[in-house]
Order: sequence, then structure tokens, then C-alpha cells
Amino acid sequence: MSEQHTEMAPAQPSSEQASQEMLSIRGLVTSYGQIEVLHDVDIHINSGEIVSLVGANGAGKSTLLMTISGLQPTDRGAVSFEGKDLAKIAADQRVADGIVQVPEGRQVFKDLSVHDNLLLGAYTRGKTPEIMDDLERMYTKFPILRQKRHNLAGELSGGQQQMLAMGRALMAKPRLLLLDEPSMGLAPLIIEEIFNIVKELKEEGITIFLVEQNASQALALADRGYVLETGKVVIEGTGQELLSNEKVREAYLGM
Amino acid sequence: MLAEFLQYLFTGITIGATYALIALGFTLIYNASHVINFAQGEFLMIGGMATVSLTAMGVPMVIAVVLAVILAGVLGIALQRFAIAPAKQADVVTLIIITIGASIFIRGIAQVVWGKEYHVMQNFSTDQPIQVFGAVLNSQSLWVLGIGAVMVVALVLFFTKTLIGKAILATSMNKEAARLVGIRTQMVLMLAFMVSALLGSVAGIVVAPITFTSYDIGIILGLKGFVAAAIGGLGSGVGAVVGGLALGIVEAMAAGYISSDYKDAVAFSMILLVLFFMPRGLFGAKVVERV
Repeated sequence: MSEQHTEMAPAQPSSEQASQEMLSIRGLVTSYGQIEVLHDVDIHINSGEIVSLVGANGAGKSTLLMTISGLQPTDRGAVSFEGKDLAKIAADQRVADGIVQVPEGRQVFKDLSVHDNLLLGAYTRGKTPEIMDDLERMYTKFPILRQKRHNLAGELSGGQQQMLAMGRALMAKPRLLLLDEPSMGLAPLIIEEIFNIVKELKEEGITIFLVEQNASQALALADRGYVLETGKVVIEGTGQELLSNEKVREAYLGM
Repeated sequence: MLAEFLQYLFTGITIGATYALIALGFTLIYNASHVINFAQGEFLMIGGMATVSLTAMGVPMVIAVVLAVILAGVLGIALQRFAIAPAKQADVVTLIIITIGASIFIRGIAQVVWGKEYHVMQNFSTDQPIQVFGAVLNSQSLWVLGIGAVMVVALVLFFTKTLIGKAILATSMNKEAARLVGIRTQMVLMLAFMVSALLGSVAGIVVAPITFTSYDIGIILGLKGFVAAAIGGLGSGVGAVVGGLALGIVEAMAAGYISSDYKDAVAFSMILLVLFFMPRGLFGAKVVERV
């Protein structure tokens, strides 16, 4: 396994980067007990981008997202959001600040109704009248959820649960949306629908960090991408660069 | 014949309603944390004893009850903050043992403060029993049933109509997802302990005129409540209520038709029997716990 960090694209001019940088991860190390999972990870996400993170099962992708959300503690390194260090910011405050995650495997609240799942998405926003407008907007974006709003979330199909999980996250009014394997276990047609929604969200101005094993589609969509291997970023570049990279093609696109 | 049966039934439903309230307390904390809180019975003791001692000091009954319930609520929060929360890395079994330790501690303090003797609390209203088809119904039984029903309805409304109630349910279903929508799960746990303590203390207060109260009633009442929760299926609210009533009625029938010596034995035989044939209890979840 290659150890060195293959820098693909010449780094963008740093002044431009700094002005629009939304999330910055530097030298991040995190572990489960004694086992170090992420080693010295550097990733940055600019405002308005879709950034994809691809990598095999167990590379540490979900761990990275949990660290950004504040559910997994950092051992070393720094994560900052819009210039603010997140070290002392609790998970609920990060949601309120606009960092919202759609976790792997949907994780909807199975025994609550679709409607209640969406309302809980807005939990950090308190009681404002706009929440009902946003709820209406979610039902327009995902008509199937309107149809099933009185059903228990556990009764929905996988694709519908994915939409519910995304709708729930959107109810928090995210500025940075973390998507963990949204295509996992879904039929190709549904995957396409999900990716179309991701594109729409970008057009609405939401910055997106997309973690996927489905590398070809994730990279085709992305402005930039990173490849994570056993807890290290091994390749980074624009989506197109990664798609045409020999190593990526071989390891992740099966070509 | 009928009078006798009705008599046992009234007794059973009354004590069963108390068991149901205790069982609901177990259920709430179990759902929020998978911990079985063996200090649940102490909330009943605190409710009853505090009310008795406050009224003895001349505080009017209503105010004494309110203060006793608040005291229990504060105790519930303290139990979570100072005994459960500091051990957050510990596994569930350790936490359960902590609750046993906490119950012994609370009982010890109560013994020092209130002494070892039994205390009598007067009925809320008239001492005059009500005659129904030849059976005697203690007026306090109506208070137990009425307040029990109000508590159950209030709980149902809390969990179905309020966002914070739904947040507790969401946390019990999926803690990680709850944290990802910004629910502070420690706060939810604290709330679960507080509500359990409120339920327990109310049960302890309304039943005190019937059973008397003392520093150590929490042990047996807590265990009976746990049996009721397990019979109903741990984690099920409906199960807690049905389990509580069933246990109360079976116990009263056994005490009446066989002998009151066997009253407690019946409760514990019942849990063995139900769990033998229905390991998840009457209303327990069918699914296997996910990793």
C-alpha cells in the first residue's frame, strides 16, 4: 500500500482558498481506544463546493464524519468551521451552527412518524414559525414523504428512508451537509434520484461533503475529491483528475 | 361470594395501579438508557415519607405533597448527575449496580432522618369506606386510580404532543441519530430520571395511606414494580400498565383465596412463568437488539 501522499493538482492560490474556506481539517488524529483510525488527515472544503471522499470499507470515512459532527473525539489536530475552532463546540451546537450529517444507513427514528422525524430535524431551531414553512418545502422536495407522513419511518423502503434522513438533516438548515454513503444498498434508479437531489442542494447554496464507496458517481458530481486509505489521505484533486487517475481507476472504479 | 371477589379485585386494582406507576418509571429510564434503575422504589419512599414528615410539621397537605414531589424530582436529577453521568464509559451492568448502591445510600439517609418506625398517612379525603355490592372500597383507592390515570394520560400527551417528549423517544430509538439532530442525550437522560422520580413519588404518596410508609418500603415496592415492568415487557409503556394491574390483581386474589403469606411468592412465580413462556414479556419488542 502506498504510503506517500500523492499531491495531484497544484495547490490553488492560498489567498483565494482562505477567503472561502468553510471547513478545515489539519493533522487530524483520532482513535477508538488504543487503535488509531485516522492518521494526520488534512482536508479542506470551500464554501459552495461538493467535495467527495472515496475509500474502501474501513478506511475511516465514517469516523471522519463523526469527528466533524463532534460525536467522535479528536486526539490531535484541529477542525475549524468558518475560521472557528470546533474543539470545544458540543455536537448539538455544531448542528445549530449549520454542520449537519446524514449518517450511514439512514438511521431514521423507526418508531416515529415521518412527520415527527422531520420535525426532530429542526430540534435545535427552537419553536419558530418558519419550521412549518420548511416542512412544507421538504414535502414539496420529497413528495413521497408527504404521502407517507403519517407512516412510521421504519415502514418506508430504503430509498424513502434515505430521503427522509436527508429531509430531516435539511430541516436543521445546514450550511455544510455531511452525507455518509447515501447510495448504500439502493437500486440504481433511486441512486440517480438521490444524486440529483445532491446537485439541487448544491445549487441552493449548501456546501456538501459526500462520502461514498460508489466512487465513479461521487467523483463525477464533485468539484474536488479525496481518497482515504487506512486512515490517510493518499490522493487529492479535482473530481475529473481523480476519475482519470490510474490508481483510482484501478482501485475504486474497477477499470 | 361476589362481595368477596369484588373486595379482592378492588384491592388488586389499587395496588396494581401503584405497581403500574412504578413500572412506568422503570420503563422510562430503561428506554432512555437501557439501565434498570433499582433506586426506583426509593422515589416512592421519599414521596411518602417527605409528605408525612412535612404534614407533621404543620405544612398543609397539598403543599406537603408538592414539596415531596419536587424533592423526589431533584433527587432523580441528582442520581443521574452525580451517580450515573460520571460513569458514562461504564457498561449497563455497572450502571445498574450503581443504582443498587444509590438505593442503599438513599435508604440509609432516610433511616437517619426519619427513623425506622412505620408512619401513618391520613386518607386524602373521607375515612368513610364506600359500599359496592357488599364489598368495601376505601376512598383512598379512588384517589390511587384517579391520580394513576391522570399520570398515564399526562405521560401519553408528553410523549406524543411535545417536541421534548419526542426527543426522548428518538433518543431511546437511536442515540447516535439523536445526537446528530442536536439532541443533548445527557439532558434527555436527566429528564428521564426526573420524570421517573416524579411518577414514583406520586405513586408513593397516594398509596401511603393504604400501605403505611417507612424508610424501607422502597425495596419491596421497587421490586414489585420491576416484576410488573418485566411481565409487561421491559420498555413497553402499555406493558408496564397492564403488567402492573395484572400483578396487583393476581397478588390480591392469591392473598384472599389462598393466604396472604404467599402474596410475594405469587409475584415472583408470576415473573418466572411469564418469562418462561414469553421471554420478552407480554408487550415486549419482537426485534433482537441491534449492535
